[in-house]
Amino acid sequence: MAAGKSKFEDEPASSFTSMIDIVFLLLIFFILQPFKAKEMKLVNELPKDQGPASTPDTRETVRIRIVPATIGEKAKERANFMVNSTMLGENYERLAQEVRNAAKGDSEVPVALAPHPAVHFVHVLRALDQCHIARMTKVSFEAPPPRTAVKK
Amino acid sequence: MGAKRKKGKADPSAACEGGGFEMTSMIDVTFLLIIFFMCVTELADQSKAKVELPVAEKAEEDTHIPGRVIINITEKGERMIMGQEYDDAGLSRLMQLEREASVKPGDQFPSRAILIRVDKNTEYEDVEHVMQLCMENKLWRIAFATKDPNAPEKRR
Repeated sequence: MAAGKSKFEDEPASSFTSMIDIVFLLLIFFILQPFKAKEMKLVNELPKDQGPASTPDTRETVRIRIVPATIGEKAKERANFMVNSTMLGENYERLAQEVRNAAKGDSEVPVALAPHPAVHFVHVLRALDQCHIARMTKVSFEAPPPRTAVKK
Repeated sequence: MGAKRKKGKADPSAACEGGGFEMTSMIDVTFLLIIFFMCVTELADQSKAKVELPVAEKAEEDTHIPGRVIINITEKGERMIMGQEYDDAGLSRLMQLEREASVKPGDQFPSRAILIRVDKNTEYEDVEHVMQLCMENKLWRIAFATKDPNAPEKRR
């Protein structure tokens, strides 16, 4: 150490301003990160015309009906679920188990979703999700009646 | 943002005076640019209309596929693609183009699924209509966009 120089003068410079800058930038980055909402997808196949050569599935189809609730508060936003003739009410969490029971554990049994036209999409997706949870592989939407009017 | 140096202190960039640069400032600017471009790309994505997506447990992560058609169905049942509203005829034309682009020569079925982003409060009738158009145009693979169940709820 040279004579006359203080102890602190030889220490490397630590710039607090830049340090705080970077810390703040990192803070902003991690605060903004959750707003970049990640999107997921639920893939589904629509029914195809397989031609006369295809063998029709002889197994009984499990039919899931989704109808809007008629009574109570916010009835339009709620829905009732039905698996074949079993009424589940609004409890969609039981749907996977009911579908498995109706299919007798066979994941290849066709499942047809028959939502009411006025039902909110969230309930349709819940039913589709429950079919995926039940590991059903042949889930399709029931064909609607033929279209007549052209929507603008 | 630059570092202030006291007189007589050792300057880390002194070895290359004139041509040297501060790493701290460089990192500063790099981070700012990253944040800027992240925000801009998120805001400039016109293919995704503002819809409240439903949540699904068994959904898989959606990867960006360039050129894929994304149909947005709003709460009122409007069909939006790239910020424009489409009627049946327009949607059919677009689906035909999508089919031509997604079916490889020699294949019967499209190689990619068409993404439908539906608001959770949309009536099923409007979704069914679009699905029917997909079937008419032989686009049999569809995917419904869902929200990540682990994503935090946005405050309103």
